[in-house]
Amino acid sequence: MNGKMPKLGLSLMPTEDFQSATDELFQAGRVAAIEWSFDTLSKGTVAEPWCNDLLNRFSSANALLGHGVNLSLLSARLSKRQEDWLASAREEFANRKYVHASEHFGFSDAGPIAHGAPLAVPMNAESLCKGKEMLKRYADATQCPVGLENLAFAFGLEDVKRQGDFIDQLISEVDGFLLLDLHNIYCQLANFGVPALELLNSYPLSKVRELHLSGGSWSQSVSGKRVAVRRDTHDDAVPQEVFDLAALALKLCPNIEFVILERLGYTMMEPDMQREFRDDFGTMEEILEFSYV
Amino acid sequence: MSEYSALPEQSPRPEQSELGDYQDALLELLASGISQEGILQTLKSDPRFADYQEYIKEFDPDMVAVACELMEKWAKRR
Repeated sequence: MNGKMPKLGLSLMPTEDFQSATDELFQAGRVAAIEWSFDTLSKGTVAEPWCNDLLNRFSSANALLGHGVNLSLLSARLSKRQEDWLASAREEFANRKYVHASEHFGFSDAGPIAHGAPLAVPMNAESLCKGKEMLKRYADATQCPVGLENLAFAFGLEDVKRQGDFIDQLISEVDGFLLLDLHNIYCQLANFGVPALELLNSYPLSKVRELHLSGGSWSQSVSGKRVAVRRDTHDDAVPQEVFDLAALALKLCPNIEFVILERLGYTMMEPDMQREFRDDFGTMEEILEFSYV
Repeated sequence: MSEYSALPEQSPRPEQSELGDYQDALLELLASGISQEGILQTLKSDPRFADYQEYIKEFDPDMVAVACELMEKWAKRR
């Protein structure tokens, strides 16, 4: 394997279970980067001191990644909420040094809804134009490299097949990067039966700068068309299939700089779940070491 | 960075937008609490979705059900 080994890090959750689960990883110096969803704290609230200490420490070490959740990049109309969001992001990135900033593909702000989980858009000229404009605004607000995360959700197979090329067109506008979320890829493989290599190769793999790994869950298929529907719920251990995808992605993507393990706060309240999270981190460490010998 | 900051001087979002109308109507529908079957029916018959029929006909019922659950769990109204 050519290239430098990516830094392995964690998506920081400002919750007690995350703190308990990860304290020994941080103490042992095994966490090389953290990612912070800077827009998820409720307005007016501040992170606990231990959380702020981590943010400041990793920021100083040039190992803090910004990850937006609520911008709604592909909304057709710019809302007052989005303008406020961009202003807050500008302030955050001026106050704290981040390596780069990412956001999700999709839209969640329209009509009566201010924000929520991103949904797929029709990939047409208007979506492309609006998305490029918003990415420029995001880059302007953060003053750092910006990228997009592939979406797990798809209304149908066409959304799955076309997302990679569409993201490539979007990020090309700002010389941006792809944040390749492997659990999101796994959801699409499980739900739509697309071959893994075919799906991965539909993305601009040379532009992948960051990988995400997480677990998820299964829900009932209302149509009976499939055994179950894979969901990107970030509330369980990383499945073996996602580790397999990580090993494959490390071979296919020559420019990965960061690998981030994610799990939602308050989903590992029991000690065995916290151990499971550390075990996932250890498994990914081994995959990286094996891939970069 | 400076090369990214060439933003349009005026608001780039005109009030009239086919895509915007579709997005407004879709989120309103998904958050309405009606069943996944009812949503699929409305998507096919409501004139607000007429311009996107080619796209909508590919919608998978399971994924429409997931979208409804996502709206119920995460969506915040204005």
